[in-house]
Amino acid sequence: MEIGYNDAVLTLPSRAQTIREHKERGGRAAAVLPIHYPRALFYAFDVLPVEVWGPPGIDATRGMAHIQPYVCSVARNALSFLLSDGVGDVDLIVAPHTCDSMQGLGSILIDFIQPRQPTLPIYLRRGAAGGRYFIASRRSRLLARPLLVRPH
Amino acid sequence: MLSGKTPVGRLPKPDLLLASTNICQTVLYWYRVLAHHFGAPLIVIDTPFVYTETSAHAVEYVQRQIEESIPIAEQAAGQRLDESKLKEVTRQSKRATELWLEVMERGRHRPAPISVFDQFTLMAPIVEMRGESFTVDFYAALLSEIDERIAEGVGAVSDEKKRVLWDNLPIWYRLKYLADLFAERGVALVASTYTNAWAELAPMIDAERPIESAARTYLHPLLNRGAGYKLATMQRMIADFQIDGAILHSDRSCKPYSMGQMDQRDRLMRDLDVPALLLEADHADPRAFAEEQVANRLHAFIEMLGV
Repeated sequence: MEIGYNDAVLTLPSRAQTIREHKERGGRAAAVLPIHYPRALFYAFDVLPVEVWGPPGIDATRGMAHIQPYVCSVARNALSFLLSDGVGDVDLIVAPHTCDSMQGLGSILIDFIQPRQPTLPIYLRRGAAGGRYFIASRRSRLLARPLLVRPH
Repeated sequence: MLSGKTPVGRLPKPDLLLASTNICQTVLYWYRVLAHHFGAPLIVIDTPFVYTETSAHAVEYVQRQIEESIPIAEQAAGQRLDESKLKEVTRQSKRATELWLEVMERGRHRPAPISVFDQFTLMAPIVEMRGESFTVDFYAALLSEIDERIAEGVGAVSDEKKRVLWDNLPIWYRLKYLADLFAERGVALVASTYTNAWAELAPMIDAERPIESAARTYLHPLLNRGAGYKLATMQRMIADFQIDGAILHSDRSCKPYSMGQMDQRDRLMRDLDVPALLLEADHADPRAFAEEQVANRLHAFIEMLGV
């Protein structure tokens, strides 16, 4: 049996186009660095999370101006992508605390690069004791941010 | 440590291992390996990274972890926690840390009576034996000796010409090589963000509230704070110690300390007009130390200082 391909399936919209269309419908968008983040929370507030892993084919030199060569290339390429405006018109940059490299990238964004969008670091607890309390407290702070407050 | 081929022999089997996330993440892996090797229980105190400010719930989170680790420690020790002893240990820790801070602050004198290379070896008690009375005695005696050197005008480097700040961990396996290289040119390394990190939190230590203050203190080491705070620390030290140049050791094995250094170096040069060198190496792995390349870069840096 011959498999039929639908042109619409093969023509994926770009990130920028997806973000634009989502915002035209009244939503907002966030660029999210790897790897774990409260995805459901973002969707619940109509914030489209757009994951940025440092796609190939970008000019990596922008990231190299801030991040040493021995650091994970995902961090360096993701920064290059953000700096080249490749991600489109997002309202927020989310930097989960995945590893040393992502921790450092979040810190560099907040303290030195200071993009036009606010950068929100998300720390994921690594300790067993008090973990539920910590996550609940982080969620409360996250919900208090203006970007995630529902418009009336 | 596991082979026993060290100056102090083999690491004895621990009854309990305890590590925190506020340091180079390689340390966590060391402790996980040790826990696996010895079959010993491992407590990890998770200290959320302080990007800009510390939240009350982060302090509470760390405090809860410390409190919940107490029964495990009691089981390993075979005895209950003596709260008065804990307060006394905390008091000794604070006093030793204050003395260590004073020792390093003496580096403001010209010529500096103590170098960063001295600090790297003299810091062992403050890292490993902070709550002991003999540690307080040790740093009190050291401070007295340093004051004698100041009174006699003795410098760590003879004929001190320029003063330099060191950022990040030392290159442990080449301390003498680097100390000699700088001393021969009259360059004194007088301050270090790393040795300072073991002292600057002394005011946070509170013997009347030992666990809460421990939680707060463990959250705030330089290594657990944002790149902007690290830059501000360097800027303050450059002013306080009358620094002529800065070396930022870009340490492959400690990314939490090293990430942000490229921007920090640029800001130091742009905002303070201080020559700053990013020196790539590793605090533990000699394979990442290319001696000729390091020597070339350091000699060029020393020339930039005008020596």
